[in-house]
Amino acid sequence: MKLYRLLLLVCFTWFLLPGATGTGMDRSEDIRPGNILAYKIDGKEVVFTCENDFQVKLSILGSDVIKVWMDPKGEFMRSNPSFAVVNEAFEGIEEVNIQETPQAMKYIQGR
Amino acid sequence: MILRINARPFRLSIFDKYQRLLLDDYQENGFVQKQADKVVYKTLKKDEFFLGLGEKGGSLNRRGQSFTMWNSDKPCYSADEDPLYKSIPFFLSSYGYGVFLDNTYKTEFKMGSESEDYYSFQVPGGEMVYYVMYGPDYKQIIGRYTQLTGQPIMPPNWALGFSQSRGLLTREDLTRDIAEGYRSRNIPCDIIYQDIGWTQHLQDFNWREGNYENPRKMLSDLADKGFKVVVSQDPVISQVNESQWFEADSLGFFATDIRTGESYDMPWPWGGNCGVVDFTHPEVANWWGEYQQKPINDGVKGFWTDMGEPAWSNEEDVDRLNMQHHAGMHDEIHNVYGLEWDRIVTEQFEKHNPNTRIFQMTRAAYAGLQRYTFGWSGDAGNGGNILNGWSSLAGQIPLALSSGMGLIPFWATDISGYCGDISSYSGFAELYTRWLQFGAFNPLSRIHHEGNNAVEPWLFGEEVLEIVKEAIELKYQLFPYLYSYSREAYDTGLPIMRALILEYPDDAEALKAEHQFLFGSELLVAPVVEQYASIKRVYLPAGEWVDFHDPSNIFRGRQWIDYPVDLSTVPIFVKKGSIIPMMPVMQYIHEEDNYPLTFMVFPANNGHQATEFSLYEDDGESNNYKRDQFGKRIIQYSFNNSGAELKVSAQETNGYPLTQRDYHIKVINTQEPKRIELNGKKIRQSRRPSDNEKLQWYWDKENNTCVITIPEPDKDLKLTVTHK
Repeated sequence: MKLYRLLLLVCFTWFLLPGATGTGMDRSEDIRPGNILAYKIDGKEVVFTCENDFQVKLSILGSDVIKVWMDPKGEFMRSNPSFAVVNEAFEGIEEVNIQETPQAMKYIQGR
Repeated sequence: MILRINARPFRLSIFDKYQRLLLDDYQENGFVQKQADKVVYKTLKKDEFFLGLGEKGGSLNRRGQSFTMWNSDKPCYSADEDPLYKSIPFFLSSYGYGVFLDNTYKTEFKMGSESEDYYSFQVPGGEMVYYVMYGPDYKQIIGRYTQLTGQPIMPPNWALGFSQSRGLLTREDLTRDIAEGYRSRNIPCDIIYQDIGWTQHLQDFNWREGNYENPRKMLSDLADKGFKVVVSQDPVISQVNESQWFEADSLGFFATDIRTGESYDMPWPWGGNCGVVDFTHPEVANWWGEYQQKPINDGVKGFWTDMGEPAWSNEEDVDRLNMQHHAGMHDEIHNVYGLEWDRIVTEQFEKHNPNTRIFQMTRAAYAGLQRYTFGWSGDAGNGGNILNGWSSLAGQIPLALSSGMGLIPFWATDISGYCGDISSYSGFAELYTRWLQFGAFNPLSRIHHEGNNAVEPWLFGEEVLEIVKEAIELKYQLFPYLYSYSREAYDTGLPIMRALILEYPDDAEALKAEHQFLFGSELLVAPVVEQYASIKRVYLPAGEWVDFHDPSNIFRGRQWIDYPVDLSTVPIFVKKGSIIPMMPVMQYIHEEDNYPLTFMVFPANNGHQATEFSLYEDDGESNNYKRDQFGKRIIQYSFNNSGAELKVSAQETNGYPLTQRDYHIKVINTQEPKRIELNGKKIRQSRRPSDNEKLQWYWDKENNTCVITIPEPDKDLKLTVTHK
């Protein structure tokens, strides 16, 4: 099996990012994912459930390719299959695992 | 890659295995929904730059620029106009990653144009789905994108020859005249295009009455002289063409107007108002395939799919948003309308013409087009004053290079720029010449101009004719080299016209050199794109570079040079340590099937690694290349203690037999040999240059070149050269 080169690290420590409220962007009506409340692994996919049912799906397609789907409704539905993408089967990853660290961090490793 | 997800709040960061930060959400703004718009913000690093976004104008370095993806019909577009005809939402970062935004709506990319701290991409509808590809080098990123969206199809071999077109080249007599014009002057040419007026009734694919006396005979006669005819098609049915319009309307094959439920009434630049064929409707394919097969059955060899934005559907044409397609409303389908058309054209061609390679060249498309079609850059040139088209010509180079990184390896400019009436041929001659000198190094080369402005090479005077003929002839001589790189494009997705930065990613100067390019990886071409030029400023990257026109002229790399030019000059440099395979000038590709090969060997300095080229060959017209039915000749040149060795070894896969060819080997800038052996047997030295095909070698003292002739060589051979 090809050596994996992907490591996914989830940090559950609470910290404020520098300048998080000082971006100069109008935030009044904007929707953001907010905090992660839970996550679920299914094969090579990890779905993060965030606040207000916002969900993020990370598909680890290969050791060097990931797919990111950010869905405020958490439905992951699209009206048409991709017109451009014909192959999502890359080498290097068979599944995704998570390991927690003592610092409450969790690693997700592809194998 | 290492991915880190911060949980509070969500934030995605991607690192390489050395924990170097590659891509990072911009603070907590990795996703922001602003009413209907969804935006991803990424941190912009101080030294980060971007390439790509497909066939876009402006500087190669996309940092600080913004772009919109909305396929647009832009006649006479300026060098940095946006949007243009194609939407390829894929870019590459200098930090070793690429991003493909898989959304067909009118997406926007602000690559640091709003802030020095972040860049963004934005979708007004549909889903926020994007792919991140780690390289780390650009070629690897392109490779991953190729895996994701498909390999580029190879053109038939004759597509790499030269071609002639004109807006009103829509008559048999003119077509025959032009063909005769090429052959009588011995100017190589393979393709003659017919613009959309070849068919009277959009789009029943019948020949225009009165313009063609006997199209089948015309095609047959032209084929006898080596010409292939390619015809234009538009994606619409004119209401004037009542029978076909009612046929399509009754079958529900048009996009409909959401306000009325009726077929959408589409204005069109010619032929009156039209119905827009809905290529997303599954039943349209066979229907369209039957129509387009008619001229193919007559002897036409391919299609030029024009106006597929669809035309007159630019951003300001908001009424088009009322169009309903089978697969969705127009705001979602607009950018893939051309792609869906391209798909059907190719799939139907292959259905009706089994195992025949498609020729399709298209204007409007979306990411993934490489699976079906080749591309050209639409209507460049200055329509207001044709003589002011220099910036348009210059802009075609970075535009071509960016197209290549978006998987359009088989690309063409309209030589002469398409736009503008020609009132003075002598006045336009210089720009015409320069445009052709650039276009000859496009993988697909086509002269085309609007209306009835004739732009055949012999209309600009004897001097221009001689110069452009030489450029066209060189294109044909380089066919073996170009065809080998065409296979590489199929295998890897890598473009043939390459930005220097692709090959020299760590060279900051390479990014600035955007009015020159690598043709493959061995040849550097720097077309002159300035009026009255007496020098061309050229950047030579690492290595040593040999002047192709004067091999005694050698330059060290990593420097800008001022190269003297006159109207006849196309600055071309060969990297030391290269082998360039060439063939004789022919009037069309494979006029002679068993042509000899000339290997131009530009040795590396002694002590460096062996010089090698992998020369590709297949049948040129079938799709057996997709089943890896091909042959290769691997040519290697290396030094040993007493001189040098040249080996040719053959690889034949899946039963493809390599054609027997005589070899002429020219070792440039070398020492005089004392003795040369072929497979251990001494070869006779000739005291003077000879055209006969006997086994021999000759020392060209004046040019320090050794010329070895090997008739009917073994498939595998070894030349041993002992130097004096």
